[in-house]
Amino acid sequence: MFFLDTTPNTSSYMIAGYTVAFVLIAVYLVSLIVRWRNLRQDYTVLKSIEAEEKEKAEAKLRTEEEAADAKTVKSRRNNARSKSTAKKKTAAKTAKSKTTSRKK
Amino acid sequence: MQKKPAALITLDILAVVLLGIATYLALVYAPTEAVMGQVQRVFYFHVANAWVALLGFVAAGVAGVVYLVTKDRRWDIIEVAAVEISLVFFLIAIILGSIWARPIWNTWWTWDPRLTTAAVTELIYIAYFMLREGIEDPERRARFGAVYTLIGSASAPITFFAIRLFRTIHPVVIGSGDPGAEGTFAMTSKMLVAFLFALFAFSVIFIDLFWNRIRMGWLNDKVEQLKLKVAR
Repeated sequence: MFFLDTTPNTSSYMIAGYTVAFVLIAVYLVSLIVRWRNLRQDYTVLKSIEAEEKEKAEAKLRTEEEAADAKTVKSRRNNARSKSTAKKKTAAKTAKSKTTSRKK
Repeated sequence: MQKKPAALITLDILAVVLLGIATYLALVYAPTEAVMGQVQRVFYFHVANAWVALLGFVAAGVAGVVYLVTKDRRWDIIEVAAVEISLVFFLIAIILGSIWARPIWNTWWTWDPRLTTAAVTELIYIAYFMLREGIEDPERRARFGAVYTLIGSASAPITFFAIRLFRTIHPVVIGSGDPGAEGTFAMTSKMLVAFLFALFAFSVIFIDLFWNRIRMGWLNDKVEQLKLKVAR
Protein backbone atom coordinates (compact mmCIF):
# COMPACT_ATOMS: atom_id res chain seq x y z
CA MET A 1 0.00 0.00 0.00
CA PHE A 2 2.86 2.38 0.82
CA PHE A 3 4.32 2.06 -2.67
CA LEU A 4 1.20 3.31 -4.39
CA ASP A 5 1.28 6.75 -6.00
CA THR A 6 -2.33 7.60 -5.24
CA THR A 7 -3.88 7.87 -1.77
CA PRO A 8 -5.82 4.70 -0.99
CA ASN A 9 -9.55 4.90 -0.43
CA THR A 10 -9.99 4.05 3.24
CA SER A 11 -13.13 6.15 3.80
CA SER A 12 -15.27 3.16 4.78
CA TYR A 13 -12.92 2.40 7.71
CA MET A 14 -13.03 6.01 8.83
CA ILE A 15 -16.85 6.03 8.70
CA ALA A 16 -16.96 2.73 10.59
CA GLY A 17 -14.59 4.09 13.24
CA TYR A 18 -16.53 7.28 13.90
CA THR A 19 -19.86 5.43 13.82
CA VAL A 20 -18.63 2.97 16.45
CA ALA A 21 -17.28 5.81 18.62
CA PHE A 22 -20.52 7.80 18.51
CA VAL A 23 -22.74 4.75 18.97
CA LEU A 24 -20.76 3.60 22.04
CA ILE A 25 -20.82 7.10 23.56
CA ALA A 26 -24.60 7.29 22.90
CA VAL A 27 -25.19 3.85 24.43
CA TYR A 28 -23.25 4.84 27.54
CA LEU A 29 -25.17 8.13 27.82
CA VAL A 30 -28.51 6.30 27.49
CA SER A 31 -27.42 3.78 30.14
CA LEU A 32 -26.53 6.67 32.46
CA ILE A 33 -29.91 8.36 31.89
CA VAL A 34 -31.87 5.11 32.38
CA ARG A 35 -29.99 4.19 35.55
CA TRP A 36 -30.43 7.73 36.92
CA ARG A 37 -34.20 7.62 36.27
CA ASN A 38 -34.53 4.20 37.90
CA LEU A 39 -32.58 5.34 40.93
CA ARG A 40 -34.69 8.50 41.24
CA GLN A 41 -37.88 6.40 41.08
CA ASP A 42 -36.50 4.00 43.71
CA TYR A 43 -35.55 6.96 45.86
CA THR A 44 -39.02 8.56 45.73
CA VAL A 45 -40.76 5.21 46.37
CA LEU A 46 -38.47 4.41 49.31
CA LYS A 47 -38.90 7.92 50.71
CA SER A 48 -42.71 7.56 50.60
CA ILE A 49 -42.49 4.10 52.23
CA GLU A 50 -40.24 5.56 54.92
CA ALA A 51 -42.69 8.45 55.51
CA GLU A 52 -45.64 6.02 55.65
CA GLU A 53 -43.85 3.81 58.14
CA LYS A 54 -42.94 6.83 60.23
CA GLU A 55 -46.58 7.94 60.17
CA LYS A 56 -47.74 4.42 61.10
CA ALA A 57 -45.28 4.26 63.96
CA GLU A 58 -46.40 7.67 65.19
CA ALA A 59 -50.08 6.66 64.93
CA LYS A 60 -49.35 3.45 66.82
CA LEU A 61 -47.54 5.40 69.51
CA ARG A 62 -50.46 7.85 69.70
CA THR A 63 -53.07 5.05 70.08
CA GLU A 64 -50.88 3.37 72.68
CA GLU A 65 -50.60 6.62 74.59
CA GLU A 66 -54.34 7.18 74.26
CA ALA A 67 -55.03 3.66 75.49
CA ALA A 68 -52.67 4.19 78.39
CA ASP A 69 -54.38 7.49 79.18
CA ALA A 70 -57.82 5.86 79.01
CA LYS A 71 -56.59 3.12 81.32
CA THR A 72 -55.31 5.59 83.88
CA VAL A 73 -58.55 7.61 83.72
CA LYS A 74 -60.59 4.45 84.18
CA SER A 75 -58.48 3.30 87.10
CA ARG A 76 -58.72 6.76 88.67
CA ARG A 77 -62.51 6.68 88.24
CA ASN A 78 -62.65 3.20 89.73
CA ASN A 79 -60.49 4.34 92.62
CA ALA A 80 -62.72 7.34 93.14
CA ARG A 81 -65.82 5.16 92.92
CA SER A 82 -64.48 2.61 95.36
CA LYS A 83 -63.44 5.40 97.70
CA SER A 84 -66.91 6.97 97.58
CA THR A 85 -68.67 3.63 98.14
CA ALA A 86 -66.34 2.92 101.04
CA LYS A 87 -67.15 6.35 102.45
CA LYS A 88 -70.87 5.70 101.98
CA LYS A 89 -70.55 2.35 103.66
CA THR A 90 -68.72 3.80 106.63
CA ALA A 91 -71.24 6.64 106.82
CA ALA A 92 -74.09 4.13 106.76
CA LYS A 93 -72.34 2.07 109.40
CA THR A 94 -71.83 5.05 111.69
CA ALA A 95 -75.47 6.13 111.16
CA LYS A 96 -76.67 2.64 111.98
CA SER A 97 -74.52 2.44 115.10
CA LYS A 98 -75.81 5.88 116.17
CA THR A 99 -79.50 4.81 115.82
CA THR A 100 -78.91 1.57 117.73
CA SER A 101 -77.20 3.48 120.54
CA ARG A 102 -80.14 5.96 120.65
CA LYS A 103 -82.65 3.09 120.82
CA LYS A 104 -80.73 1.63 123.67
CA MET B 1 -32.30 14.79 46.45
CA GLN B 2 -30.27 17.80 45.18
CA LYS B 3 -31.11 19.59 41.95
CA LYS B 4 -28.58 19.45 39.13
CA PRO B 5 -26.12 22.34 39.63
CA ALA B 6 -26.07 25.10 37.00
CA ALA B 7 -22.32 24.56 36.51
CA LEU B 8 -22.93 20.92 35.59
CA ILE B 9 -25.68 21.84 33.13
CA THR B 10 -23.27 24.35 31.53
CA LEU B 11 -20.58 21.67 31.40
CA ASP B 12 -23.06 19.24 29.74
CA ILE B 13 -23.76 21.78 27.00
CA LEU B 14 -20.07 22.67 26.64
CA ALA B 15 -19.15 18.99 26.30
CA VAL B 16 -21.65 18.49 23.46
CA VAL B 17 -20.44 21.65 21.68
CA LEU B 18 -16.77 20.66 22.08
CA LEU B 19 -17.49 17.16 20.77
CA GLY B 20 -19.12 18.72 17.71
CA ILE B 21 -16.17 21.04 17.08
CA ALA B 22 -13.65 18.21 17.63
CA THR B 23 -15.55 16.08 15.09
CA TYR B 24 -15.55 18.96 12.58
CA LEU B 25 -11.80 19.54 13.04
CA ALA B 26 -11.04 15.83 12.70
CA LEU B 27 -13.27 15.15 9.70
CA VAL B 28 -13.18 18.44 7.76
CA TYR B 29 -10.49 20.86 8.98
CA ALA B 30 -7.54 18.44 9.18
CA PRO B 31 -6.05 17.51 5.79
CA THR B 32 -6.19 13.98 4.44
CA GLU B 33 -3.01 12.06 5.13
CA ALA B 34 -1.34 11.16 1.81
CA VAL B 35 -0.26 7.58 2.59
CA MET B 36 -3.08 6.23 4.77
CA GLY B 37 -5.97 8.24 3.37
CA GLN B 38 -9.19 9.02 5.28
CA VAL B 39 -8.70 6.30 7.91
CA GLN B 40 -5.91 8.37 9.48
CA ARG B 41 -8.67 10.68 10.82
CA VAL B 42 -9.56 7.94 13.29
CA PHE B 43 -6.28 8.79 15.05
CA TYR B 44 -7.66 12.04 16.58
CA PHE B 45 -10.43 10.31 18.53
CA HIS B 46 -8.40 7.14 19.14
CA VAL B 47 -5.59 8.95 20.99
CA ALA B 48 -7.96 11.33 22.81
CA ASN B 49 -10.09 8.42 24.09
CA ALA B 50 -7.06 6.38 25.16
CA TRP B 51 -5.39 9.32 26.90
CA VAL B 52 -8.49 10.25 28.89
CA ALA B 53 -9.16 6.59 29.78
CA LEU B 54 -5.64 6.04 31.09
CA LEU B 55 -5.85 9.23 33.15
CA GLY B 56 -9.15 7.93 34.58
CA PHE B 57 -7.56 4.62 35.55
CA VAL B 58 -4.75 6.45 37.36
CA ALA B 59 -7.35 8.72 39.04
CA ALA B 60 -9.22 5.60 40.20
CA GLY B 61 -5.99 4.27 41.71
CA VAL B 62 -5.46 7.57 43.57
CA ALA B 63 -9.10 7.50 44.81
CA GLY B 64 -8.48 3.93 45.99
CA VAL B 65 -5.44 5.02 48.03
CA VAL B 66 -7.38 7.93 49.57
CA TYR B 67 -10.24 5.54 50.43
CA LEU B 68 -7.84 3.12 52.16
CA VAL B 69 -6.40 6.00 54.20
CA THR B 70 -9.62 7.85 55.07
CA LYS B 71 -12.25 5.02 54.86
CA ASP B 72 -14.60 7.66 53.46
CA ARG B 73 -17.29 6.07 51.25
CA ARG B 74 -17.26 9.09 48.93
CA TRP B 75 -13.85 8.05 47.60
CA ASP B 76 -15.20 4.62 46.74
CA ILE B 77 -17.97 6.28 44.72
CA ILE B 78 -15.38 8.46 42.92
CA GLU B 79 -13.23 5.40 42.21
CA VAL B 80 -16.13 3.44 40.67
CA ALA B 81 -17.13 6.45 38.53
CA ALA B 82 -13.57 6.88 37.21
CA VAL B 83 -13.20 3.19 36.36
CA GLU B 84 -16.59 2.94 34.62
CA ILE B 85 -16.07 5.94 32.33
CA SER B 86 -12.45 5.01 31.59
CA LEU B 87 -13.57 1.50 30.68
CA VAL B 88 -15.97 2.91 28.06
CA PHE B 89 -13.39 5.34 26.62
CA PHE B 90 -10.70 2.68 26.52
CA LEU B 91 -13.02 0.24 24.73
CA ILE B 92 -13.70 2.94 22.11
CA ALA B 93 -9.94 3.54 21.76
CA ILE B 94 -9.23 -0.18 21.28
CA ILE B 95 -12.01 -0.60 18.69
CA LEU B 96 -10.91 2.54 16.80
CA GLY B 97 -7.33 1.27 16.80
CA SER B 98 -8.45 -2.07 15.45
CA ILE B 99 -10.46 -0.41 12.66
CA TRP B 100 -7.43 1.75 11.79
CA ALA B 101 -5.14 -1.30 11.81
CA ARG B 102 -7.18 -3.24 9.24
CA PRO B 103 -6.15 -1.24 6.14
CA ILE B 104 -2.75 -0.13 7.55
CA TRP B 105 -1.39 -3.36 9.10
CA ASN B 106 -3.67 -5.60 7.07
CA THR B 107 -5.05 -7.17 10.25
CA TRP B 108 -7.71 -6.33 12.83
CA TRP B 109 -5.52 -7.43 15.73
CA THR B 110 -1.97 -8.46 16.47
CA TRP B 111 -0.37 -9.42 19.79
CA ASP B 112 1.93 -6.42 19.78
CA PRO B 113 3.12 -5.17 23.25
CA ARG B 114 0.90 -2.05 23.11
CA LEU B 115 -2.19 -3.92 21.96
CA THR B 116 -1.61 -6.71 24.46
CA THR B 117 -1.10 -4.36 27.43
CA ALA B 118 -4.19 -2.39 26.33
CA ALA B 119 -6.31 -5.56 26.18
CA VAL B 120 -4.97 -6.67 29.58
CA THR B 121 -5.82 -3.26 31.10
CA GLU B 122 -9.38 -3.43 29.74
CA LEU B 123 -9.81 -6.97 31.09
CA ILE B 124 -8.38 -5.98 34.50
CA TYR B 125 -11.06 -3.31 34.87
CA ILE B 126 -13.88 -5.53 33.60
CA ALA B 127 -12.80 -7.97 36.32
CA TYR B 128 -12.93 -5.09 38.82
CA PHE B 129 -16.70 -4.83 38.35
CA MET B 130 -17.06 -8.61 38.54
CA LEU B 131 -15.16 -8.56 41.83
CA ARG B 132 -17.38 -5.80 43.22
CA GLU B 133 -20.54 -7.66 42.18
CA GLY B 134 -19.36 -10.69 44.13
CA ILE B 135 -19.05 -8.90 47.48
CA GLU B 136 -22.22 -7.97 49.38
CA ASP B 137 -20.82 -6.10 52.37
CA PRO B 138 -20.33 -2.46 51.21
CA GLU B 139 -17.29 -1.83 53.44
CA ARG B 140 -15.54 -4.97 52.31
CA ARG B 141 -16.47 -4.29 48.67
CA ALA B 142 -15.01 -0.79 48.86
CA ARG B 143 -11.81 -2.01 50.55
CA PHE B 144 -11.24 -4.81 48.03
CA GLY B 145 -12.05 -2.46 45.15
CA ALA B 146 -9.58 0.13 46.42
CA VAL B 147 -6.77 -2.41 46.67
CA TYR B 148 -7.65 -3.79 43.24
CA THR B 149 -7.61 -0.38 41.52
CA LEU B 150 -4.36 0.47 43.27
CA ILE B 151 -2.73 -2.62 41.75
CA GLY B 152 -4.64 -2.26 38.46
CA SER B 153 -3.60 1.37 37.98
CA ALA B 154 -0.05 0.16 37.39
CA SER B 155 -1.26 -1.25 34.06
CA ALA B 156 -2.10 2.26 32.79
CA PRO B 157 1.47 3.65 32.68
CA ILE B 158 2.74 0.26 31.41
CA THR B 159 0.27 0.50 28.49
CA PHE B 160 1.20 4.13 27.87
CA PHE B 161 4.96 3.49 27.82
CA ALA B 162 4.74 0.11 26.06
CA ILE B 163 5.43 1.69 22.67
CA ARG B 164 8.45 3.51 24.11
CA LEU B 165 9.84 0.57 26.11
CA PHE B 166 9.36 -2.38 23.75
CA ARG B 167 9.98 -3.02 20.07
CA THR B 168 6.54 -2.56 18.53
CA ILE B 169 4.75 -1.91 15.26
CA HIS B 170 2.40 0.57 16.95
CA PRO B 171 3.27 4.11 15.76
CA VAL B 172 4.56 6.75 18.16
CA VAL B 173 3.30 10.00 16.70
CA ILE B 174 4.55 12.22 19.52
CA GLY B 175 8.21 11.73 20.42
CA SER B 176 10.67 9.27 18.96
CA GLY B 177 9.30 6.06 17.59
CA ASP B 178 10.47 2.58 16.93
CA PRO B 179 11.94 2.05 13.44
CA GLY B 180 9.74 -1.04 13.12
CA ALA B 181 6.55 0.97 13.69
CA GLU B 182 4.08 0.97 10.80
CA GLY B 183 1.65 3.80 10.18
CA THR B 184 3.76 6.66 11.54
CA PHE B 185 3.16 10.05 9.96
CA ALA B 186 4.39 13.62 10.31
CA MET B 187 1.70 15.93 11.65
CA THR B 188 1.01 19.20 9.84
CA SER B 189 -0.01 22.28 11.85
CA LYS B 190 -3.70 21.73 10.97
CA MET B 191 -3.46 18.09 12.08
CA LEU B 192 -1.84 19.21 15.32
CA VAL B 193 -4.71 21.67 15.96
CA ALA B 194 -7.31 18.94 15.39
CA PHE B 195 -5.35 16.53 17.60
CA LEU B 196 -4.84 18.93 20.52
CA PHE B 197 -8.45 20.10 20.33
CA ALA B 198 -9.67 16.49 20.43
CA LEU B 199 -7.54 15.93 23.55
CA PHE B 200 -9.04 19.03 25.16
CA ALA B 201 -12.62 18.18 24.13
CA PHE B 202 -12.41 14.63 25.46
CA SER B 203 -10.89 15.89 28.71
CA VAL B 204 -13.93 18.16 29.19
CA ILE B 205 -16.30 15.32 28.22
CA PHE B 206 -14.56 13.07 30.74
CA ILE B 207 -14.92 15.66 33.53
CA ASP B 208 -18.60 16.16 32.64
CA LEU B 209 -19.38 12.43 32.60
CA PHE B 210 -17.30 11.93 35.76
CA TRP B 211 -19.30 14.57 37.65
CA ASN B 212 -22.61 13.11 36.45
CA ARG B 213 -21.52 9.59 37.36
CA ILE B 214 -20.38 10.66 40.84
CA ARG B 215 -23.81 12.25 41.44
CA MET B 216 -25.40 9.00 40.35
CA GLY B 217 -23.14 7.11 42.75
CA TRP B 218 -24.26 9.31 45.63
CA LEU B 219 -27.90 8.75 44.73
CA ASN B 220 -27.26 5.01 44.56
CA ASP B 221 -25.68 5.16 48.00
CA LYS B 222 -28.71 7.02 49.39
CA VAL B 223 -31.06 4.43 47.85
CA GLU B 224 -29.03 1.59 49.38
CA GLN B 225 -29.17 3.23 52.81
CA LEU B 226 -32.92 3.83 52.48
CA LYS B 227 -33.46 0.19 51.46
CA LEU B 228 -31.64 -0.96 54.61
CA LYS B 229 -33.64 1.50 56.74
CA VAL B 230 -36.99 0.39 55.29
CA ALA B 231 -36.10 -3.32 55.52
CA ARG B 232 -35.38 -2.99 59.29
